[in-house]
Amino acid sequence: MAKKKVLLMGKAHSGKTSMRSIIFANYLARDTTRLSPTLDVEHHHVRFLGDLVLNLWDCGGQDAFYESYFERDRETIFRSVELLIYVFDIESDSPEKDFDHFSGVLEAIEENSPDARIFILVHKMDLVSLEEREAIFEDRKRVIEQECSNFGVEHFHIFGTSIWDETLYKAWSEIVTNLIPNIRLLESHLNTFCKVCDADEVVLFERATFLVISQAQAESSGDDHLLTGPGGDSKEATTQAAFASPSGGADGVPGLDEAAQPSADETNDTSSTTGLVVPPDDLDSAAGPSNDTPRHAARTPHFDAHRFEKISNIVKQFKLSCGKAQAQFQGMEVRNSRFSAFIDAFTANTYIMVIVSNPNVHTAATLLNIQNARDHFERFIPRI
Amino acid sequence: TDANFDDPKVASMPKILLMGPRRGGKTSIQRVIFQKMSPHETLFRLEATQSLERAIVDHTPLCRFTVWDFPGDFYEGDETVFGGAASLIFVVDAQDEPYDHVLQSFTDAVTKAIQLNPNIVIEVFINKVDGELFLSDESKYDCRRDVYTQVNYELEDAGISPDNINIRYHLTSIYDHTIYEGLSRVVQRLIPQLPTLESLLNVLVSQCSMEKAYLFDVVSKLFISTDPGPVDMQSVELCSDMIDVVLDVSGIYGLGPSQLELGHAAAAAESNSVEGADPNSTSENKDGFDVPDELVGTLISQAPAEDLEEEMVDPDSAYDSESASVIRLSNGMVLYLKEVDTMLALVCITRSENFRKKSLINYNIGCLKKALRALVDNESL
Ligand SMILES: Nc1nc2c(ncn2[C@@H]2O[C@H](COP(=O)(O)OP(=O)(O)OP(=O)(O)O)[C@@H](O)[C@H]2O)c(=O)[nH]1
Ligand SMILES: Nc1nc2c(ncn2[C@@H]2O[C@H](COP(=O)(O)OP(=O)(O)O)[C@@H](O)[C@H]2O)c(=O)[nH]1
Ligand SMILES: [Mg+2]
Repeated sequence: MAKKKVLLMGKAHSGKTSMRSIIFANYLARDTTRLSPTLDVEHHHVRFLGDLVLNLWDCGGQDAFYESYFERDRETIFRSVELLIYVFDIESDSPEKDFDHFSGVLEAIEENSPDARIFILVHKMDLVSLEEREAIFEDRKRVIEQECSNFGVEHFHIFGTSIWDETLYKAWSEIVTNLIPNIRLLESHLNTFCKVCDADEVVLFERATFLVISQAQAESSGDDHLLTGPGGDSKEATTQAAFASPSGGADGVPGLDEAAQPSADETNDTSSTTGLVVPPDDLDSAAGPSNDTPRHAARTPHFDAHRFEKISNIVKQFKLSCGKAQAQFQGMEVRNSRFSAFIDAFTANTYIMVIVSNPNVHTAATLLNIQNARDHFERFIPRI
Repeated sequence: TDANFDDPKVASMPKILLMGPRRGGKTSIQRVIFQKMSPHETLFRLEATQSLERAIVDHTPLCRFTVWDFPGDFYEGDETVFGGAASLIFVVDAQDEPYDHVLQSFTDAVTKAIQLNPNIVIEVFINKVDGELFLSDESKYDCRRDVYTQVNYELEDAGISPDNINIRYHLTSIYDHTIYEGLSRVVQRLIPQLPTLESLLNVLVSQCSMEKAYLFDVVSKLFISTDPGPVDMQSVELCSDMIDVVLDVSGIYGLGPSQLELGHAAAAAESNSVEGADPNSTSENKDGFDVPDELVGTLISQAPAEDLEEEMVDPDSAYDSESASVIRLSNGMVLYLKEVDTMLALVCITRSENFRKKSLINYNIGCLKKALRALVDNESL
């Protein structure tokens, strides 16, 4: 089990505790108005992917506390930090003062934990009107970058965030995946899985937080710039036989369209040998990895760069709704005439989402693939 | 956008009036439910209403009406206001005690309204029952009792016997599901086909051994009908949250590019007419499937075949004729959502063991769908 120390800093009332509570303690955004100010440092241990323990130091932001952070407790606070998250309130009434603390923090980090990764969140962006949001963010970003370079800090990431939309999930997904080793290997397996399913994309979410930890897209999906992982390497990384499961078969996997299954025969054939179901028009590419042309030309392009974070947000909200009704969410399918989405509990610590727009891929086939890939992926979820 | 209110089709829709004191929450309610404003946005995006604002709600054929949002403290309604109105919703701010002055005005308005229109339904929304003041259920009920007692007292004072008018009281807040609950109950009263809807859903639920089935207007998320079994608001809320999930996920992955519009619409119409047909192709249907209830039978036979074609709707819409969703819960329940008409969703709650007979369920939903269509067509004759 690995413990990682994460410092959460920023001025009082900037939203640190709110973010932490939403991501790790299942708060609703509107519940955060009831939070009381953080006094001194609150320590929280949160589990991620089962074995990774984030040791969150939520540092109360009142000026008086900073004196002790910088003087008496300097080493206690800033030593062996893996990751620093510094939060700016976009509506701050004294930006100069924010920078006082900020530069002090940078200095102390450089001195005590020079290898710490640094994330800077410009928070409460919802309070800026949509038209101005981009410009104001860029402006603030420039000032922060300037400040960082003054202190010789080169590597850092800046995000605009708000608890009222998906930007919160975007930022925290990036933060957390930064702490997971071996994420590349997982990505390459996910790429293979995406191809085998003839899916448009496949996304892995961490189970408790629903933060995105890995993703893969089909090559033809139209937003190649989002492709992650080593791409071509994936072919040598796995063979399809690796997915084989002794109990392949479509029974007991109720799907949306089980009434109509013209390809049921092919389905069973394929699954009995490999455990995975390959779409009918795709059988030759399964036999040999020679076929690199897009199979499903009419695949809908997804231009929304924030879609995964939106999904995290949507599912997490719904999980809370289930909780209110004394039930727990297990999995879902959503479709219309253009797509099917499958979101399902996957390995012990993850959920998977598979998006399919090829109408020839049957629901039962996708569900079966998800089921049979579980054990395989269990071995590739990074152990920390 | 007020122009088309003279259109006889619009003028004949049921009218819902929103009245009450300033800052009671009338406009907020309207925006949150019908225009998807988020509740916390109402805090800084709404100004006091200066003059009457009307809106048409017409997403789905079974549920059409107009909403009349009056400026605060406007109770001077006349023939033109109260005349054709189906419901008067009076919005009281629960956080603004004492209520006596407000309830006096209420009594005046009600007296006038029932004089001019004896059929008008009076609904009191005791709004803003949220926050520090209303943490316990107790405090909410106390508040409702206070309002109720005071209204009756005022009415008696005005010489009206409270027994002669039917006033319903709803505790609401735009920050939670109570506002959907309150408005659902208001809207259900406006639907003349309600008894038929209820028996159709009853047939479905018993044929397929479901726990519960609801019909929702997808856009407003108001539930417009359910089977006669007891309604558990928690499950309604979960179904309504499911609609959010379906719309949100479909909005990300299921929007059609407008260029493909024509090709898609043709394909959709084609596949639609095939949907639900040939239920006997699997053996599953045969066991446990009885002839549908007489009522369903009649309704199907009344539906002219050519009218079964899909109405032209936005072909790029996230919610289309093939929209469907399954959500599995750990307590062995399954939520099943399916499109049954333009912007109308059936949401069923069923045990997973009963959900295995998927084709039976789909066949029966197909029947329901046809019956609904017939119901709508009958109405428009
Ligand atoms: N806490 C709470 N506040 C609410 C609720 N509904 C509305 N509000 C707030 O009440 C204030 C007034 O809401 P409006 O919708 O403008 O009230 P109105 O009745 O239309 O007011 P007039 O147009 O002046 O008659 C806004 O700040 C809303 O955010 C509620 O259910 N709970
Ligand atoms: N508008 C807006 N308010 C926020 C946001 N995040 C937090 N808040 C509010 O800011 C206040 C202070 O948050 P808190 O987490 O206690 O700040 P902390 O002192 O940094 O821990 C609370 O009332 C939150 O509801 C946001 O993204 N947008
Ligand atoms: Mg108003």
